Amino acid sequence: MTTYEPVIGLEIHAELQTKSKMFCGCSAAYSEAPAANTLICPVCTALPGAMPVVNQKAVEQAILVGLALNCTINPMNQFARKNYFYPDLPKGYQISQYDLPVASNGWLNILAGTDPQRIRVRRAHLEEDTAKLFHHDRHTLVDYNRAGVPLLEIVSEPDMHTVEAALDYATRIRAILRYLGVNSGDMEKGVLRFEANVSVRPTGSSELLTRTEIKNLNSFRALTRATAFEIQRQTQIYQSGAEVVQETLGWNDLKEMTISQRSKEEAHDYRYFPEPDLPPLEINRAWVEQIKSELPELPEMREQRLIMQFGLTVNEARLLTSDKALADYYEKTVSLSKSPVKTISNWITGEFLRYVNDMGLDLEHLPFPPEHLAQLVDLVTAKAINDNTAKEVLAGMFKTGQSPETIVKANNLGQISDQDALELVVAQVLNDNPKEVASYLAGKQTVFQWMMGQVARLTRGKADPQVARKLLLQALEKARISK
Amino acid sequence: MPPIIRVEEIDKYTGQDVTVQGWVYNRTDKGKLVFLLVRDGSGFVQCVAFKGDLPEAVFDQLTRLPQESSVIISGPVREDKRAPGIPGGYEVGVREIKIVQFAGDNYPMALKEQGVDFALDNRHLWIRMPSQWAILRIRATVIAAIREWFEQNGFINMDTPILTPAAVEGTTTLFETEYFDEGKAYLSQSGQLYNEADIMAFGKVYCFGPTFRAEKSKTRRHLTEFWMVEPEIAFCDLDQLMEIEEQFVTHIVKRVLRERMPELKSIGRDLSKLEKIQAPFPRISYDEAAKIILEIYDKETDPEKKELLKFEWGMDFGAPHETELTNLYEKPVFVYGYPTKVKAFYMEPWPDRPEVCKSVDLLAPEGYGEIIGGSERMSSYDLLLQRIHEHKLPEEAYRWYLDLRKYGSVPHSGFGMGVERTVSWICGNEHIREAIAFPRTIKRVYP
Repeated sequence: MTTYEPVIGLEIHAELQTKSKMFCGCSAAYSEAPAANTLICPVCTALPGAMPVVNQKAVEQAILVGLALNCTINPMNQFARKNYFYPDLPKGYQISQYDLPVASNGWLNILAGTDPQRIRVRRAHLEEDTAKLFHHDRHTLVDYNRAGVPLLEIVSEPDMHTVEAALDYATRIRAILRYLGVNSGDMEKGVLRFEANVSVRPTGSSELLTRTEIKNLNSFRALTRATAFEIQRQTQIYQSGAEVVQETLGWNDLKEMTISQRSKEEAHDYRYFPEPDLPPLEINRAWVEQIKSELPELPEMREQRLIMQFGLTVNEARLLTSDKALADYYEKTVSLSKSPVKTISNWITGEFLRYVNDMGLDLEHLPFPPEHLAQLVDLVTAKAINDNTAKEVLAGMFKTGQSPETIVKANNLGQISDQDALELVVAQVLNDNPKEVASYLAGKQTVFQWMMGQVARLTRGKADPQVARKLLLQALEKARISK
Repeated sequence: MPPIIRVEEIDKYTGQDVTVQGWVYNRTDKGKLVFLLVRDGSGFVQCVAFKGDLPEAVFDQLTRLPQESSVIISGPVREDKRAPGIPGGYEVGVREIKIVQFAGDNYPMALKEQGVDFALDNRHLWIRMPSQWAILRIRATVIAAIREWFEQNGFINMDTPILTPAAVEGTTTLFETEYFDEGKAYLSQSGQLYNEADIMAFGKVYCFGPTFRAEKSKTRRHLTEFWMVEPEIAFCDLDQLMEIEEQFVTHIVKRVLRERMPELKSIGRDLSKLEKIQAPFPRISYDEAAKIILEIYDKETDPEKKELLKFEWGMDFGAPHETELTNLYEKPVFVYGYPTKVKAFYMEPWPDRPEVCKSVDLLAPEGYGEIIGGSERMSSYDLLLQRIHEHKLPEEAYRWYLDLRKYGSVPHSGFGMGVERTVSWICGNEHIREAIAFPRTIKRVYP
């Protein structure tokens, strides 16, 4: 049977973090609005005669994103009217950009399998968000607080061929937006939304077959589930000898399936035309250069730096830089700790992240500062506590927010490396287990590990394994001689 | 006489009468039919002679025509999927044939199994065989693609001298010759130092020529004369260099895939492997590569292999290490940030980590290993002088090279790519000596 490979392109709608809306002075902080329809004015409610004015900050942020995605910043921008009728847009059109967007022809490197792949970014353009609709049984309520909030739409070329690649691309875009400080990446608040264009084709062919567009994917989970579902659905259609129909689909999270919304409209259905109320927007080189000089260190650059600075592997560095807050936390811990970098990296990428993920914590609001993590790792390095104890202490830190030293003292968790104390424990183990001692002396080496386990049990895991080992060996040798 | 065509373009002449000038590579007699596989330099095509089409004396001669006889054949081109040849799928009906020379008996490279040494002794004839012919055609396209890419990207070709006064490092691997009253001169191993002077005048340059290595210790699988292309770029750091390298290699592979498909197929190359060669390539640090090698070493159970994989941080990678690393990826992989000790004196140290330098090797997949070595060059006068002293090099000989850091020094980088290694990888051929028409090894200067 013919096998099919997916062809995926993504459109990412990112709300920009500006103070005011795209074309008026209303606050854009709609999620903190006191009530519905309080952050509105004649412009965003489309009263006759109200004139839009472009938000400079939004344009700057769009340029910043364009530069971070290796795009060409177009010196001449034009806003355009995208005409459609729906209550979420009182004007009867959305001000968007059509043939002259802010940025075009960029790229972003992702990882497809073991090897990197370059995903081309077709364009990034500015537009305005729509009002929120609240559907009830017999009526619908409209909140215009969100209407007019600046949106940046980032459109990729159909360069992704696995669900994993699409996920990696989306994840990296989100990280970049967060690094740039133009979007919080808070998916639950809907500040970042995906649309996936999906088609399949016979493996090895380079043609593009009919695609469908899945709208309003509001989480990474929805993105991966919906594209995977759609790939399978289209493959089955072709395998049964039928044809895929071009249409717009919605994703039903509960039923876990895509649902047809409408047959796909073409660009010309929207009757795009230049926005007569806004003159063309010129972006001169000096402005672009100025914004370029403000570009912060981006995930990929930071990854490169950490690899050489701390001898990390690509995967470690990628994990640590995937979130700005995590990378900051890591670097701060390294600078505060006296332990080898490798030990710190292992703790953060291992136990630490496991707790963060399990507890669903926000990396920007952790229960304890990097100082505490540095202390914990240093306690292990100094052998004041062993690995197992440290894991317990870390659990306590996440629970209580107390410093590791406080927890160690309060629970008497310090590692026992005191010779006299451990000698007593070792003597007790030998005394209590004459059979095992005999079998060890008879040559059964494996019993030794069991006896180490007994020492650990009696000290509740606090014995310094190296000291304990040495003392146990000495005691067993003595027993051999006296036998 | 119908127009003379090149066999590689035969698909354009279906149904027309054409003339093919070439040599008989193989002959099969089938009673009233004689099949001649004729090579014309651009391809191999089947020519079919039917007894009824030709005077009896001529047809009779054809049934006795030995391999390598030179012929001029005219007749119609027919499409036939079964017809052998390169590209194949077409045949020429023999309506007229002129035998230019009836080849002599006992052709040494007749179609039978030959030992490698025997084949190399007859290299002047061996290059006529399809496999060797295909590899050398691909080599020519690789070289054309190299020049094309540089031309398209603003590089100027600079020819650097082959007779040079001193080595970059040591003289043990140099071919030396008397040079009049000036003492000794040596055959070049690299044009890089001269290119560093060139870029301060031209920005982006490349040199392309033969380089020479007199390493007695090396096996006969190494060439003593091989071709190397060496670009050098002003205002270019290590990251930018890697980007240039991956674009460059992608371009070469793409053009070979576009133009040399019949040749690649004729030597049985797995094309899916080449189709994956698209920038960007994976990049790993030497630290990570060392970690990977040590992990593989720990897991290896075969004592012989384990011995070969022995490694510790600070060593250069040997062929077995490179093989293991490249097996992890489908694309060529960059390994960057090598220990300063195993690399040349002129490489820029890593900021805050002087024990490693801004060097990068590109390792070809499928175990082929290093095809490119490059680095960001040292741009500080004081540091370079210090290194020259540390390496006990004669300061006087490097005065001009130091001057480059005195007058308008800039960050600059460059690399060298071995043509034969690259061709071997693209062809999927393990013998580097087959990637050049007349190989020179320590055991061979004939023919």
